[in-house]
Amino acid sequence: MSSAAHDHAAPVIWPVDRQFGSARPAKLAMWIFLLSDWLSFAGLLLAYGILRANSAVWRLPGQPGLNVPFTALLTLVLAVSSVTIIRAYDAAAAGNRKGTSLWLAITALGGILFLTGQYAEWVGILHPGLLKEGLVFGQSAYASTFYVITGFHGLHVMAGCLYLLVTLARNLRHAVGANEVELLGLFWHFVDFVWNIVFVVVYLIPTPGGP
Amino acid sequence: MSSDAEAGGTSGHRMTSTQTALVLAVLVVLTALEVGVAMLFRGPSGLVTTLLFALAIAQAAYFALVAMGLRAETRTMKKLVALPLGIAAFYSLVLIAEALWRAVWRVTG
Repeated sequence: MSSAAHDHAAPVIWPVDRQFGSARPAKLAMWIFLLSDWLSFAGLLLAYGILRANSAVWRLPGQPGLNVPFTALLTLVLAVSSVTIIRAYDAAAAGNRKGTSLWLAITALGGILFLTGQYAEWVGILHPGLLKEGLVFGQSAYASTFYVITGFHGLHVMAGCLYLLVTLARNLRHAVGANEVELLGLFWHFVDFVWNIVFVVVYLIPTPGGP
Repeated sequence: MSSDAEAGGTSGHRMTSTQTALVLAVLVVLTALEVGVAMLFRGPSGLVTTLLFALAIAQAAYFALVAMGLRAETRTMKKLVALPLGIAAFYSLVLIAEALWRAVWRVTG
C-alpha cells in the first residue's frame, strides 16, 4: 500500500479541546444524533410500559407468545457483530484495507442475519410467523406495541446494514479512513445497545399472574 | 500500537484481540443471565423484573463505556451522554411512582 493511501486510512488526530478532548466534530454530531434517537426509543418504551401497566389483560386469549430462545440467538448475533465492527475499526486504524473489508462484510452479514430472523419471527420462513399465528397489528396494545418497537429497531438495523455496505463498497474502491469506520461503529453499537433494552422490556419482563 | 493501545472500542482507541474477546464474553454472559432469569427463575414477578432491569442497565452501561468507548472520553463528553440517558430513566421512575400512588389511592378509596 502506498504511503498516501496509508495516511488516508490512519486516524486524524485533532488538537485536544478542553471540553471534548480529541473528539472530532463529526463524532460529537454522531453522539448527539444517537442521543436524540435514544429519546425516540425511550418514548416508545415508556409508552409500552404505561400501556402494559394499565392493562387488565396484556396478552389476549388466543394470541401467541414471543419466542424467547430464538430471539436470544438473534441478540447474540448482534453482540457478535458489535465485536466484528471493533475489529473493522482496528484494521482500518492499522491501514489494513483487506481486513477492514472482511470485518465490515462480516458485520453486515450479522445485521442481515438479524433482519432475516426478525422476518422469520414476524412472517415466518420455515414455520408460520406471529402474523399467521394471530398476532395482528391493531388488534391489541400487546400486538401493536410489539410491532412498532421491534419494527422501529428493525429499521435501524436496516439503515445500519446499508451504512455498512456503502462503507464496504467505498473501502473496496479506496481505503476509507479509520475515523469513518469509528462513526459507523458508534451507530452499530447503538443499534445493539438499544436492542438489549428492547429485548429485556418487550420479551423478558413477566406479566404478573399472566402469560 | 494495538498491543499497548488504550481500551475503548471504536472511540479512537484500539482494542487488543484479548480485550475484544472479553467484550464478547461479557455480552454473551449478560444475555445468558437475562434469559436464564426470565425463563428459569421462579420468584415473584416484581423481583424478576427488578433483576432483569438491573442486568439490562449493567449491559447498557458496559456497552456505552467499553464498546462505544465512552470511558476514554472527557468528563464533559460523559455528562453530555449521561444526561439524555438519565432523563429517560428518571421519567420512568416518575411513572412508576405515579402508578404506585394510583394503586394505593384505588385501595384506600
